[in-house]
Amino acid sequence: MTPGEDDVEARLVRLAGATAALHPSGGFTARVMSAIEREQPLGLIDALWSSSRRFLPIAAFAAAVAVVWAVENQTTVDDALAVTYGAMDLDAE
Amino acid sequence: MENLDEAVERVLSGDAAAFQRIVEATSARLVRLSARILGNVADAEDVVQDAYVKAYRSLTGGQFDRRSRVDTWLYRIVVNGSIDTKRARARGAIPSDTIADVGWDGAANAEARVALNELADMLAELPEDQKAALVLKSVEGFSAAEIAEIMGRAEGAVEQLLVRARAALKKKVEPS
Repeated sequence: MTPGEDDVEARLVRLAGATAALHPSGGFTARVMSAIEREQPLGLIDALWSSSRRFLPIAAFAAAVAVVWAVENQTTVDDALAVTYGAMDLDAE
Repeated sequence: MENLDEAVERVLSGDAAAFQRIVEATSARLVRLSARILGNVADAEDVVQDAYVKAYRSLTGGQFDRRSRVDTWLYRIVVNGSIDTKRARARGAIPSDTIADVGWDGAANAEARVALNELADMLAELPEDQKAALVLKSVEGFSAAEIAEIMGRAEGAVEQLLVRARAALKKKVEPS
């Protein structure tokens, strides 16, 4: 450490000692405990949302697979119809 | 720490009153740490209260994964809360607490208050993460490894924060 950094460290150590007497105000524990008591138990919707969040990644993946499957199927149906119409045109001639 | 672990077990098994033992065992250090980062005790008490509510919610919601010790976990919540409060105050989202701090009594606390103001002035220009790392290291006496766990960073990143913080303070002390 350089002399400047020594000064900084020495000052921080002095301030650590000088602020060691800091403490929470009287009744702080009671204040915290009453804030905790005010915490409401989870409602039904919150509980459902909280548990369903765990399944969100799976649901998102399933939705993506479903979209891909739907697009692919639509393309297959289109191709099948195109062939059928073509065949009908030839038959008509 | 066994008492803390035991209290956590009791909270997990549905004994909400056991959480009071955790608060009694840790609140003095947590408020002191937050005050040293924020520069006043009133804001620190608000941050620590919020931290306990979050911790209680996590414990009872089964989100505490026990990968770190209870007190380290609480330190992490308080440090993050203090940094967020400081940043929000800098943006003007939270008004700076200019009201006299509650809980100050006696000459020892008056002296501590003067020292806290001096510490706040000394660290005022540091970015919040550097300030938190320096307070944890040089004021609270944690090792770089412990700070890394508390701040959720690599040990090397913490060392970097400390080097930068000390360099900035040195520059401030010795303007060329």
